Amino acid sequence: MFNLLRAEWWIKAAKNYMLTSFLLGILPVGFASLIIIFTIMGYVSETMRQIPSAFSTGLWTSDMLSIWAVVISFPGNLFGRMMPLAFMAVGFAGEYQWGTWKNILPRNRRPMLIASKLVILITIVMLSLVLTSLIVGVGWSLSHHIHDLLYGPAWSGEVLVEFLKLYAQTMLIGLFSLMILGGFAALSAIVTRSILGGLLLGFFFSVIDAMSLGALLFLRNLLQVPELTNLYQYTPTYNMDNLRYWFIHGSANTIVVPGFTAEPSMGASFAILIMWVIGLVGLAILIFQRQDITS
Amino acid sequence: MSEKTAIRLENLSKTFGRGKKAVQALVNLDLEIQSGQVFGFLGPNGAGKTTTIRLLVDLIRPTKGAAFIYGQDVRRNPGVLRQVGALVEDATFYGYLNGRENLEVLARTAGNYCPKRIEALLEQVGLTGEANRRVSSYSTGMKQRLGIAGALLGDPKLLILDEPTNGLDPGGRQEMRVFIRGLAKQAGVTVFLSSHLLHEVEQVCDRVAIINHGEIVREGSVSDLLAEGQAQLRVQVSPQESALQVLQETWEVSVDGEWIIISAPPEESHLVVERLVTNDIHVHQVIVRKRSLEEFFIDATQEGVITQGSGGNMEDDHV
Repeated sequence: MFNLLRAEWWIKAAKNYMLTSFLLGILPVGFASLIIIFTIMGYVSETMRQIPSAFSTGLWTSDMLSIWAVVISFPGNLFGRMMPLAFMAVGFAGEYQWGTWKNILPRNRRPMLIASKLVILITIVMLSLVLTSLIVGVGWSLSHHIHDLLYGPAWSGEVLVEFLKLYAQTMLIGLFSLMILGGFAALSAIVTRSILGGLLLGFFFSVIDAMSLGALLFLRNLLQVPELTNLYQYTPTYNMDNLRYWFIHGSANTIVVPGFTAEPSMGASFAILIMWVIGLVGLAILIFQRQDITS
Repeated sequence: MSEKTAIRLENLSKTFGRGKKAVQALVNLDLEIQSGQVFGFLGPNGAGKTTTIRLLVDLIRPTKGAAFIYGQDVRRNPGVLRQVGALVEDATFYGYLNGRENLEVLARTAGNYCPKRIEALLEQVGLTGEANRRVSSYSTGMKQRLGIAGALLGDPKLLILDEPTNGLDPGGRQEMRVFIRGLAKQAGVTVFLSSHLLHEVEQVCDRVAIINHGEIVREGSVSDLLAEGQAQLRVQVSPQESALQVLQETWEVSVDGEWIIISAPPEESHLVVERLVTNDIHVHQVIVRKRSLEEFFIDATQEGVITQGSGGNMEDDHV
């Protein structure tokens, strides 16, 4: 397994500079550039000096956590998941494009390869998000400090412990989001056998998941079935939100939507998310195992 | 089945697509290849060579029948493919990686990574100097050589090569033939070689099978196939009329311009000359024409059965 992971990370992903730097470097580099530009603009006039406060929450804890919203919460996840999805779709469909699946003998090593691909691709995206949140936290701190603006909360052991706990919980939800996204990417790439097809189908799945509540409400009204909205409790987006609610508020996310009565426990949401991950990855592997490699 | 049988195909069939769009690529293929042989798999484009290879290495599923390697069904016991190295169709690699990195990826993925082995193989296929270049800048021939190196990474007992000399220049082809023969002779590797280059197969292989329209039309040792059918003797003599009268008493003869064609094996050439000379006929030239594998191949693939004396592609030996 170590050999597979090393081949996937240090050789395939890391040396594909263009892909990795464009799809994943865009987040940390983009945020760093924005912070630098706004900081410089602060020297132009008194009004512009307030820009960092306008774009930041004024709290390094919230600023750092907000980065994860791009893959976790609706509507941020609607487009925020595109870059990681593209990165993962290329990781899987690239093997079809390069015609390299046929080099892997015997066939029973291929599920291991899919699993190691998932581990590596998700880890790289996670690292990119952690790096981005560090850049955002440190960057806005410096920017606020340079322009004598308030930026809290003040450092203390208690604040740090509380932040790290919340950050770890958010990362865990982010991990689920990326595992499900990885499942979408793997499944789409294997079904379509192309990078573009994998990207489009994966994005379609991702959008359906992110907008599932709207779709269910539409169907509920169309079919006149009031209970239909309750199906939302089984979607990845809801369960990730529900977990976040449990972590922050200690209760279920009771959204005020006609017909929605569910209040799943934290354990239930974990179980549903795990089932989604196993289901998607398992289905991708099953289809792949039955697939004729003809290119 | 003994360990001596490297490959056995049993009633192997493959149909692509369904209904009206169905294409039957292989039809009830039966074949047995012994260990230590260099086996040539000949066929025109679209005959089913690559499909057979893909089935052999479990890249595609058979519609019917099974492929066995060292007695193991490759679908039920895919682990047997650890003893197999394969180059299927064109050699394909990650273009953004260099040659050495591509071999490292293959070795690590297969779980047999050994840097010394990679260096030795790069040396063996003559790519040491190009190992740090991106594969996207390689020529087709270089990719083929890297593909051979990739196939040999796991030190296989059985090597399956699909058109391995594609893209190689004449010198490279000759090197590849020597290399393949060397593998079989020195390392005892069984080689299954698919090709449409008849000269190559004739030079390298011990046995051949000819496949056409998904069916094996002939199989046997190269020497047996070449010996099949009667050779021709061609003589240029004067006077031709007298010679015809003398020869047709014993052999079947025909006329082709200035030449008399005699259906007789090469070992009877001295009898032919003797008969002509004793009848005061001047003999200007005698040519023994052997049946070439190319002619054999054309006959077999065009008609599905062996025909004789189709002319044109025979090899001449002046006596």
